[in-house]
Amino acid sequence: MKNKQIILVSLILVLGFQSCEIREPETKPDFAKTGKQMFDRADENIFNLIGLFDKVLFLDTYQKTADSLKYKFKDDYFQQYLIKNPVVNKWYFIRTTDLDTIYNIITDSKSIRSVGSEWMIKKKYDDNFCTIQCVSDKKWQVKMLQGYMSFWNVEAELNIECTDSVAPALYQTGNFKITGDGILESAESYTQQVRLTYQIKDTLIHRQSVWVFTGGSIDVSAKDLETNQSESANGRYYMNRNDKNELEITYHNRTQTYDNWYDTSYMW
Amino acid sequence: MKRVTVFILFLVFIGFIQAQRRTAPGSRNTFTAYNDIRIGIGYKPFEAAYAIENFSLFEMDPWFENPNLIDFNAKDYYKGARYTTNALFCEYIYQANKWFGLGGTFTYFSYFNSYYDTMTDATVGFNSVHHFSIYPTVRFTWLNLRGFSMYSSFGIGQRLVLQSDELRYVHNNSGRIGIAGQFTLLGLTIGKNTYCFSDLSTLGTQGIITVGVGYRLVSTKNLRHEKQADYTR
Repeated sequence: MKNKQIILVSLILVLGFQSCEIREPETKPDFAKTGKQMFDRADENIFNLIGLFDKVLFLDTYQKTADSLKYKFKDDYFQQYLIKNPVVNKWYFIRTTDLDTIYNIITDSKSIRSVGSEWMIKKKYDDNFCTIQCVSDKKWQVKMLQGYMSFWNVEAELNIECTDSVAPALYQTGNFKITGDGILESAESYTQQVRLTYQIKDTLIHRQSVWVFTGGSIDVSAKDLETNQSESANGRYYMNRNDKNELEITYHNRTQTYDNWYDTSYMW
Repeated sequence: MKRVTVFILFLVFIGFIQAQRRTAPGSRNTFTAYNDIRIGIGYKPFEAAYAIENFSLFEMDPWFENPNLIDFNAKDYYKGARYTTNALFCEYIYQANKWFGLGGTFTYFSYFNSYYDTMTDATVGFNSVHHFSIYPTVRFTWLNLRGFSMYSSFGIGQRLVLQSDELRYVHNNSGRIGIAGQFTLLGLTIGKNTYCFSDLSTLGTQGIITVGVGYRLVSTKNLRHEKQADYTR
């Protein structure tokens, strides 16, 4: 009996000093999370502006298309809209599902492909028109001053240059180089109050039929206007060895890689 | 409250009836008061405040109300698995008569985990929380057989919680006082003077199940009285 008791006591003591796990380790957080969030806001804004440029280029091609082919051309790219031209130089993109006017475009009498022409476009809920001007052959300037886009007050300017020999029918079908910068500031009082500035450091490369940028980089910095905290980051687009689009965020001198994909609905 | 009172009275009543059957340490029908010392371990020590805090922790998706969100305080570290030592306790009870005992319990347990760097996975800190509890304990033995007993017990008191936190060479120490206690509906012992015990349906600072060993120590003074009584008889 004594031996049994000694064994039992030893067993209990040994078990007593064994620690036991009560909670699993936390999921490893993304160390570049802040940098990625900042970069995403800048990237989103650039794509919003390019989306407007895409509509303008499309409308220009649409105007030049023969009447018999107009419907097919529209349906090939923007099936979800009806194109209306109620007054001279004024065009509407009306959503087919609820007949709501989503884009409002004011043209001048010239094609947007001719130097000096200036068109204006406004998306529903945006406060101000975005100006698109053809500054030289196959070069455009997209400018938004005192604008409002998706919860942000926007001041931005993009320079878009087509690298094809002939300007394409649409942004999607061409090759482009983009430079520029922008300032975003929170527009709604109920959101976090942030001021974010971005600058395209290395020219962004858009390849035909690839929705995301395949090269280039953007410097972003952000400041929390309530706490005065500020951060900066750099995002670089590139294609890896397997021709997969990737994104590299450098934040606090550390680099993190992400898949580079884009929700194209932002552009529609 | 009434239910608790009725329940306690019920336990006392059952204990009073059952405890008359046999004396725990010896084989005689007369009872000798004894000191009962035990040590044990408890599985899953329970901290009420922690459980309530976790239950009430409900966070709304920050993107829902803040679409501009840029998290300026994103974490550059993460917590590793959290461990506990389990509850290590020692208890002293003075068994005054066959069914009633009164004493105290001291319990210690701790939680601890490391912090790791998000990029390198290197250890960048450590967190440990030590709980020291002490409380008076009442035990009602309601079944006394030779080498086997069953009991219920109850104790409530205080705990001292000391927390030590270190993250990237920044130290933080804190302390607080809290409530501690243990309620056991069914506990059993097997053995005579040296015995094993287990609290099977229990809840509190010691956890949800305990095991351990104990020793019933009859003081020489009491033994002398007992022997004298035997001799007279």
